[in-house]
Amino acid sequence: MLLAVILTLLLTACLLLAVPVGFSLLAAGAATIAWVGDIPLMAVPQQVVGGVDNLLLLAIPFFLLAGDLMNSGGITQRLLDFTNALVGRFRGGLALSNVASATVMSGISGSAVADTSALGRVLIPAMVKEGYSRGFAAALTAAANIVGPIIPPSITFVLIGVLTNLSITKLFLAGVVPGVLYSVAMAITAYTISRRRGYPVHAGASLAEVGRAFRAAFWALLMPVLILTGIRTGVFNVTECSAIAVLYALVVGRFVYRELTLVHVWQALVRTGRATAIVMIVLGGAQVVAWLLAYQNIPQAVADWMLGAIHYPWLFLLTVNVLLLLVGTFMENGPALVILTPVLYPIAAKFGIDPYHFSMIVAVNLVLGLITPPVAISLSIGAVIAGAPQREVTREVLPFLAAAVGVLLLITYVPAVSLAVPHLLGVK
Amino acid sequence: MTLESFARGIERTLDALLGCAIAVMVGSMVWQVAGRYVFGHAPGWSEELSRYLMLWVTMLGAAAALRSGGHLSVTALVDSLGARGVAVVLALRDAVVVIAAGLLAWQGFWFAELNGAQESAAMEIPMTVPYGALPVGAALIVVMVVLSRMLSAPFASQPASEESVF
Repeated sequence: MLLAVILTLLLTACLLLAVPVGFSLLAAGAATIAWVGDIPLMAVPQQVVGGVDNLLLLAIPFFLLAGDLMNSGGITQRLLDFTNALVGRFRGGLALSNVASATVMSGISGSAVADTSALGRVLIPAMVKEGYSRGFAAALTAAANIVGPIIPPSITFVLIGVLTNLSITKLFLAGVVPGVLYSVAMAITAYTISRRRGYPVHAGASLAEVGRAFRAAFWALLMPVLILTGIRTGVFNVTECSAIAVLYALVVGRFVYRELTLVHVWQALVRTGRATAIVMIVLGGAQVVAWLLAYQNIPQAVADWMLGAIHYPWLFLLTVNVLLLLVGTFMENGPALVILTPVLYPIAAKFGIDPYHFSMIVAVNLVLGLITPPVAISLSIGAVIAGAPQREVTREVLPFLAAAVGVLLLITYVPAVSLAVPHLLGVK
Repeated sequence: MTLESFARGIERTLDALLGCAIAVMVGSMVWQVAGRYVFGHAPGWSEELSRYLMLWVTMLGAAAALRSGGHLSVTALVDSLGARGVAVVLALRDAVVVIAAGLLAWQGFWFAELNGAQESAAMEIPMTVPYGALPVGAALIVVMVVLSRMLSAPFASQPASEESVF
């Protein structure tokens, strides 16, 4: 246990010194290994390789690239035209369109942060122009877009699958209903606030206009269907599927929408390379720490202690929710998953909780960290785009957070929300 | 050539390598699917090639993204300090990064060396080729930190990186 204390202190010290997260994990892990003394330091490069060199993880750069290409290829505007035509007629039309486009976008890209900045850049200025407060526009965009990692494809589920050996296909399918429920909760919250503040109707659209907007967005809307069908039927494995998604985005952007240029493609490739490096170096560092903890049987000790202290599954789930919300607030999702998975999953199994159901709880908790102050990446991005003071955005996000926690409790205590879809489709 | 253009040259070169690597990774996985459904058998090398390239992308990309502040950091302490305090913290930070990356370069070199006699399963290349990414990339990270110091422009610390993928 002394080792865990030293490791935690070193890690906290590095993080406070603003050492990038990946290097903090590496430094704290390496220093603790040196302190233990009987482990060769070569364990460090070995574990970094172990954390990165994985076939399934290839899906991360590929899904990132597919989303990026779809954005450069003109999907964002078409998607917004479609959702505006669909829900723009209601009170708070742009706010509802914001939620709807975030939901559809989450079926194309696997990342909340990328979606927030892609959609926010177009939607937030448009909302401010129509008279929405800057803080509300930023908070709503951030809150709506964290559905990205819950609805497939999802980088968070790829990582959970890698760490737990669960089927990524089944994780993807289990995420569909929780994701849609989350979006519905966001839409209701946005609508209620819009009514009370008298936010404007965007524009009515005739049925013919809705049809035209749908046809324009059709090829983009088809992508999530293709991805799910491809892996569900076993035509592709998840990694292949993500590569095919890239090919699909290329073809749609280049030959259907004709907006994707070679320069766009090249920039997307370089951006993907850098983004991949940033997440993978963190995973590599986290693997060093996770391995060191496992080597000292610490996950086992924590699990035993929790099992001794907690006797009811519902209490365990509540504890997990509180713990993960706290962790998600202060830590990146990647390292949080690598370090906590070996502790939490065995306990969940002992309590007889279905691992796919449990994964939904874990994932929703961690993505809520993206909009929970004080450390909230998505909120910060929204605030920067909107030019709104952080304090105002923090206040405006509270009703959305409350609604999100409601959905989280529903997912936590009603397993069918997560398990019905994979069960109906007969996925084992 | 100025120091700044030298640093930028390194980053440009790394970016070019990253772009090419990602393109090859996508290409080889698409080729694998095409191989299975069109030609009746999937190539054995495609998965291995992509995995090894990702290891290189990780290490080279970590160096390329350093100066532009792509990496995620916690900036709570830095934000609350005065100019002198910030200078001290950033100096300590750079020292920690140099030591961590230096250790990874040093031990990574011996790790690659040790596995040199072993060949990969599919492509039958020495494991030094994929594992070489660790010493090369980690050494480049040290170089980038030192360059940012020599240019007296400590690399950026930002809490809200748009490059976070979650």
